[in-house]
Amino acid sequence: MNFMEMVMALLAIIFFTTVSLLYNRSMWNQAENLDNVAKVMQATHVAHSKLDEIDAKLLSQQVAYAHHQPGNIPPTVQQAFSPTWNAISSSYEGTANVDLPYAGYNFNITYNFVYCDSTGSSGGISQTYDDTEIYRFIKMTVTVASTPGMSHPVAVYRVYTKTNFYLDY
Amino acid sequence: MNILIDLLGALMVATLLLLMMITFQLQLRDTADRTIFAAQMMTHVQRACQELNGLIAMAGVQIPLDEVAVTVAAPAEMQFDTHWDYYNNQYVPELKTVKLALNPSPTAVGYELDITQGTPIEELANILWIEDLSYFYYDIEDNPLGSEVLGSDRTKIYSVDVNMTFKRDAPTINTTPLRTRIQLRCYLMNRYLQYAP
Repeated sequence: MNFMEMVMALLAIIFFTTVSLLYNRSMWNQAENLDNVAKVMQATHVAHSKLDEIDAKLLSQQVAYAHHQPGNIPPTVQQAFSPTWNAISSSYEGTANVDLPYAGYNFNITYNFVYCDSTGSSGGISQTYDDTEIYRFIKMTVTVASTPGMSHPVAVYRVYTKTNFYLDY
Repeated sequence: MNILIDLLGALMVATLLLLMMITFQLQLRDTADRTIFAAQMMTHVQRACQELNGLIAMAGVQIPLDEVAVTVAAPAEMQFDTHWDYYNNQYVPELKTVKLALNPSPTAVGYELDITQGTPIEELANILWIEDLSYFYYDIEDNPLGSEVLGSDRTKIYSVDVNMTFKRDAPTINTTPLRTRIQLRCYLMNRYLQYAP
């Protein structure tokens, strides 16, 4: 084997090793994606369960469009639709942390509250209080993120409006 | 002598090449299989969660709040009364009892979550590949009641954490099984609906 052949052999070894490492890297990425899938699914369930919680507490009147006044007096229409009296927006706002010891995950939740139309679109909808619009829709978006892990946060939203179940409150 | 060295060099390079190709093929197949398996598992887990959430939401229909709706609130078993008939998906005047517990005898595909209303509820009783199941109960203010609730405290149950581990053997032998853990909070919507502050 002359010198050139030795160089060629070395080059071949380097080439094959590089290709092999590249492939391995792709495999590891796939394995990470698999882990990510479980995390995304858990995050989706967390988002839905938070929205379920709002649903449940609207049904039980623990959370409403407005807080109870002292003496359990239902709020006036103006209070019921005022942003400061809106119990959904004040009970579920900002950020929260959810620890799931069984699943082994920890998520950060961000609540986002906007007024919207019946399709959930907030375009052209006034975000300031207006008591001429009695039936307003609100869109609650729950964004669930985890650090580290998920490459993209999961966002789920639901549109809430008043029904006869909680119109009195 | 030179020819021998040439041959040895060629052999070395060719062996490396073959080794790389074989390893890659095996890894590729293994990863592809695991991905397909995991994707199927995710669909299964998703379906199981959706069904359990819908099922528990209808617990305690028409049962007054001061009466016990969740009759068995144990760490590995949940049983509740309701006037909802899951067979026909409608309200019925007679009381129905629904039980959610793991079948004690393991099958070839892990434990099976039995959902029974007297007899297994069709389409709901086939949640398979379960390795572990546990419940944790909460009251209306989301305060923990514990994994076992007894006596009149059972009237305080308003939501439950369903903890499940799904396990499926990986396609390649002697490899780690695929495990998915999920923690699902299910609300007894009908209890909340009856509640009046």
